[in-house]
Amino acid sequence: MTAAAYRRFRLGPVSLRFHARRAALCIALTLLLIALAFAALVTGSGDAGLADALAFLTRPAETGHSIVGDIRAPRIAMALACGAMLGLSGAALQTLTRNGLADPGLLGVREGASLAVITLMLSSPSAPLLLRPLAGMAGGLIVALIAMVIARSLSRLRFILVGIGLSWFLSAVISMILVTADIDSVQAAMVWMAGSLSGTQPGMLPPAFACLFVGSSLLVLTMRSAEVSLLGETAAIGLGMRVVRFRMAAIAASVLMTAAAASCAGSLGFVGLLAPHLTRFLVGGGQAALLAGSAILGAGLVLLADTIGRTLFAPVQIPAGIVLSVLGVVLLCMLLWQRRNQI
Amino acid sequence: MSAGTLAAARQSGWGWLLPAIGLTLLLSALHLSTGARPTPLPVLFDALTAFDPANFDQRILLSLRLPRLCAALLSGAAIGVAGLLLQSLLRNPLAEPHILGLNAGASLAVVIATTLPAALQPVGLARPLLAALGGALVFSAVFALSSAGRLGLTMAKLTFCGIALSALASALVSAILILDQETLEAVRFWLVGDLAGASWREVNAALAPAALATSATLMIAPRLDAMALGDASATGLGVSVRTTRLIGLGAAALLSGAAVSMVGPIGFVGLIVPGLAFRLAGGRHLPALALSAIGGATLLIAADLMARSLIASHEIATGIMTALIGAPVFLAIVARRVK
Amino acid sequence: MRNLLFALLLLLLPVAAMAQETRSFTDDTGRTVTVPTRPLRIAALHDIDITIPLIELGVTPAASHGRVGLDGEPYLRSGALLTGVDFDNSGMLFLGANDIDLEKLVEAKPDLIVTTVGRPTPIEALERIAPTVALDAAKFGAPHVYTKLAALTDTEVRFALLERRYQSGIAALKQAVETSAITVSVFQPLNGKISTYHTYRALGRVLRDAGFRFPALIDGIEEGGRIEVSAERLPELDADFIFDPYRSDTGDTSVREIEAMEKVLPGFCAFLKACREGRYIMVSREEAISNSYAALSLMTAMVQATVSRRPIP
Repeated sequence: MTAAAYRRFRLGPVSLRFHARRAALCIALTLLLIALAFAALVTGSGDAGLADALAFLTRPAETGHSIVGDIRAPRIAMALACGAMLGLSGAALQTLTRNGLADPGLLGVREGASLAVITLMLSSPSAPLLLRPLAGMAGGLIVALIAMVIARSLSRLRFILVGIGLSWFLSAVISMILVTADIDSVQAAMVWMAGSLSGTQPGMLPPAFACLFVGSSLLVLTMRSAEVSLLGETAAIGLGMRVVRFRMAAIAASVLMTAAAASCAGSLGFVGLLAPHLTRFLVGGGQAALLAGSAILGAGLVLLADTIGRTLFAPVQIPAGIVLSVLGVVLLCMLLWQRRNQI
Repeated sequence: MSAGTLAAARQSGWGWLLPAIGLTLLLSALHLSTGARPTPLPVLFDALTAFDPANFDQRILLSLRLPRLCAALLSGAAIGVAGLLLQSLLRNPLAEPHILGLNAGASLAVVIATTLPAALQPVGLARPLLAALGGALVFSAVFALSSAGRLGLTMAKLTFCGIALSALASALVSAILILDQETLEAVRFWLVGDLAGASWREVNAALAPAALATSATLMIAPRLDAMALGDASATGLGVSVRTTRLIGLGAAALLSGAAVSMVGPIGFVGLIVPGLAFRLAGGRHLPALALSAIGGATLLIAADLMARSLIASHEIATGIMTALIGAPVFLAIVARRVK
Repeated sequence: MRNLLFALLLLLLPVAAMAQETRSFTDDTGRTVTVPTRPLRIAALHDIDITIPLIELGVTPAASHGRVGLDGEPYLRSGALLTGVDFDNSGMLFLGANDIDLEKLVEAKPDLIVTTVGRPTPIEALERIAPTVALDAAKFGAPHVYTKLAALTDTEVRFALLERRYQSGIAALKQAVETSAITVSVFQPLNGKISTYHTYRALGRVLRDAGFRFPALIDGIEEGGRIEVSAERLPELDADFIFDPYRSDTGDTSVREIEAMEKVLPGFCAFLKACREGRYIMVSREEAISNSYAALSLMTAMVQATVSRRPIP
């Protein structure tokens, strides 16, 4: 890597240093994502094509009720938000733990959120949908706090393993609930757990995007510390870095975003694991590139999975989480093989 | 036995064997006499000496409780030994059939089979064997993936590959289940590990692989002590590390396959027992293997007893019970042992 | 541009169609919904609980939830068997299995959506497409669902006929045998245990309505509930007649059900008086679990033929 590859961007007091090739790659990926979103907007089993999508995009106020505006657009937006949140949490956790196989799903946060939401679903099936993200976030945060208390510190392997242990315990509690519950509500709960975006409500979009905004800001603000902390704890402290502050920020951000994504769309596995790896593979570079790439690729993965799931066997709907796990098998095996010397 | 010989036995690692066997027998008797129908234990002796096919009490003892107890004993012992083998061979206190993907693979195989049309469904023996095969396949994938690369098989790689592939297999299982309500109904009990369906047929089918794996384990037990000193020292002592590891892992796979085919995917027994057994046996493998087997059997019986009596109207699946006990143990090990 | 406006107009049509006469209706979740007085295009989101009852009431939904067979073709669970109506002969639009395709639902231009409580598709999403009514079939049972659906679709006359036919069948059954002197039991093997319901859908309703007596274990289950018991309690489930509903939709026969029962308890037959004396009756689950009046009639006839006195060889 040579210094010549970096460019400097100045705007008044703000100065950004960026790598030209990586910046170009990120822009290309963003364009690809926009193209994918547009393709998702014009495809579907309903009779709404290019004309309707263009009408919705150019004059959203005039179109009134439409398949594109009422069903596809909120769903696509939610897929993008959830995917970006999961990709970012995965990237943050992998940096934090310096472990390439860390995944938000392994932290117990997802199970905590699931348990809270399932309890809500089974105890009062007619509870308003908006309560679900709140319950999920509360559950996820409680579990994260318990994990931190048990692990005593956020040191790498122990924290992850404590998270795994907690997620097993919570899964056992969830299965206990599912075994004793009525079969119809169990199936509704399982569809939700498998990760589906079909229940997306426009009202759930503002909280989701708010979480995405807060979480990504936290990560962007601590980006420098993240980069230094990758050198190891002693080196970071030696360089005058406040390691603890970065860790708290990274954990808070990933818990917030994982729980928000889990309660909006159920458990979408492997995005947090795969998006950062795909980024390293395609873009490379430091923490800034990793965060940007993970958000874009995470959003792309979820959107792709959801679009495939709702159109491939239409009208039979396949939850995005299941498409993701099938895509995940292939990608994960490839990644493990490709990185076999590094993990 | 005088106090002196007892102390000597403790020192050689065999001393805990007798108390452990005593505990197992006690729990077994309790297990046999627990059930929905009050059945006095002496009926068992009648059933064994003068069997009366028309006597319902004798029938439930012979056809329901005895196979359930035997399945619990045999699979508990198998999981215990498999856990110790995996932990010693991989030098990983967290190695366990459940963590390494065997259980998830077995579940996937069974669920796939349930969705087939009636004519193609595996009958009788084929189902447990299919479960064992599924588990072995996923474990091989985990093993192959984690031993690839320059560093070879590391603890972190193996644990994570196991957890990751387990997660993938479970995701596929839930994919199939949510598409078919009847399958969900038929297998949701089995999926969490349940002893209620255990019968002589499954126990008999599992006996042969379990026996084969046990003799292989006994054969390599002395070499395991040498291997505990490190690969280099073991090679120096004339132990073929590669062969031993291969035999041991094969035996572990067979043992957990046999266990899964009897009682379904029950986790964490292999995590809790071997560590304790190894310490009680004073770090020697032969007594530790015996203690692991007995300890695994005892733990599974205890979990089964608790699962049946905790909530009166519902029998909780035994696998949920072991997870509820096992996950905190896992957390304790991690909090204590992992830096 | 004109084409675009036309397309927009088409999309607005369902909104325009809603401008028909309306009234308010309270559903099982307690929501008060403004529904058309005479709904013309109903979307039914559960085949067994909503679609089949609607067809029996003489209203063919415009679109319905269904299942997908091994051949990839959609079907209504026991639809052809009990009503003769299925997707291929009714023009009904297939909406998907389990989770439904919302876009297909919009395409169906429903003026009323009927769903059941506990379906994966949230009511909030359905409400934005058309007025949505949610019924709780699991909690309140089939008679309640029929009453609500008849009120919704203005088919009370047809509903009264169906009910009259059923009650006449029950009266005939009661006249043919002294039902209160006969005990009956319905159960099936499930993973090494025995699963039994307080009232096993159509079969259970016929048996309860006709006044048969049940073992204390079954009467002890809460209404609408079910339990799984260990085979050790098998003698407590013995009765004059035992009905075992076997799964038939995947091509299984009663032979496999008996094998499964044999696995639960080897030699089970010897410990049940009903079985020893040849009164362990195998019933196809497709008809027994339906909530339809067609199934109720079939079950009434089956029970009557089974319990009526026969010549002894």
